[in-house]
Amino acid sequence: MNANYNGIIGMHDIKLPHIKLLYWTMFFAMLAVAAVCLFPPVWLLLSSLKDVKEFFAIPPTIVPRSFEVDKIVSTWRDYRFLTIYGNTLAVTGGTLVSTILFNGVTGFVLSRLKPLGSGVLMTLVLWTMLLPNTVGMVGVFKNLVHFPILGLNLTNSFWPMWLMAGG
Amino acid sequence: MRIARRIWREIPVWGLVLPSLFLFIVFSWQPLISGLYLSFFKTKGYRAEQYVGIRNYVEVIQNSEFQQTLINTFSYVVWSLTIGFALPIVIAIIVNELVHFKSFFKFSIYFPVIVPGIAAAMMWMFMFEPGDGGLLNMLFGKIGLGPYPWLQDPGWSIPLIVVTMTWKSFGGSVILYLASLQGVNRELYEAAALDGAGVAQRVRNVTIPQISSIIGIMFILQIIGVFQVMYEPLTMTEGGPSNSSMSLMLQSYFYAFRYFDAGKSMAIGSMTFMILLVLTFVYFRVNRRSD
Repeated sequence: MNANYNGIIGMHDIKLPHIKLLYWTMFFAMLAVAAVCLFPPVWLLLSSLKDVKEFFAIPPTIVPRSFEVDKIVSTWRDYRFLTIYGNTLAVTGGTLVSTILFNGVTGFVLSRLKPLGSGVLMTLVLWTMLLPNTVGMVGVFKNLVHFPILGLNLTNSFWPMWLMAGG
Repeated sequence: MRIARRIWREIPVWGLVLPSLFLFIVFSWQPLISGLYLSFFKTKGYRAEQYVGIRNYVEVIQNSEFQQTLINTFSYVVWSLTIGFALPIVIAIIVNELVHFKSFFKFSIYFPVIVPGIAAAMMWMFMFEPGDGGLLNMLFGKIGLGPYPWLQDPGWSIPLIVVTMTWKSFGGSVILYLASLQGVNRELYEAAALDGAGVAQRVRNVTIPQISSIIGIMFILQIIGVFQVMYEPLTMTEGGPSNSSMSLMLQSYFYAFRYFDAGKSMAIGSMTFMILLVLTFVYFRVNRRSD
């Protein structure tokens, strides 16, 4: 590995013994951090393969002693994961389109074309972003049931999530 | 006359923005206003019944748990800043320095961000299981440390929830700081080295000042974000043993969706909004004065 130290620790520094110590201490500290980051979800995945008895065993194990793929299969079927994945994909896709379409155009307009009054809009958007939005939760629900001007009922469809991304 | 012509020319441009504006008003602006409006009413379900002025606010404040909730929310912010503000900066600087396995570290740091929020909260709740059944207790048991009550202990519930939140979100902050660190001019480090600055001095005098603007922004964003924490306490402790981990927004959620009292929910929301407004204003004032 051709090491190229060119940050705070430069090529000259790394040759000094105490800098080398510092560097490798940092390295192992990062390994520990990486372990903490990766371990919980990995443990969760491994646990999903265990059978019910071992899952609740006291004390709990890390590497599963039992290997049951049936659990995953039955959960998949019971909760109809394919539908869930499909729904999630639909929401994500629509949100992506909505975001690019609406926010992209708005960003372009506000930054390049700069029509009159865009400063006002910009500040408005900024402040709405900074401040809590739980206040608006109920209001949003009311708007969804009784969409202003058009008066449609938007529940039971994907449109709310797509449109909110544009807002 | 010039202004009129400019306005006339600008109309199509505004047309481009109009759909976005409409959505923005419908989904962000108008609910906020109507939420504020509702907070002054006695509500049944989600409809305004009777104008009661500030009675909702008064009742919310007089609730015996409100004071604790307020203290808790500020406590969340303080703990979050203690545990989780310097950490991403330190880690970003370290990762920026490392040459071996850099991509692996970047990946593993960002990994918790990918885990869905509620799933992460439940996962940590599982790990914090008191008694001998919990994962952390088992791991600690192997080194010989006794089983801890973790979240059941009122004093520890907020810090531990903050640990969970930090775990989940420090990856995003690290990536931001990394991007900002890449933009620091290498020659500054060489110049500092030539001047005889050691590593620590280089960090203090070159790195930190160069990224100070993004540190400032992250600081206020973290305060605003943590102040509104709701999902983690909801999943992990539901307000905690004897109300020790209740936050303002969680209380608002309970009012709206458990007690079905939308007026009080909006009252808390508006108060949170006011507090944040004041904090943001103070922050920008201090910032401007230091420039």
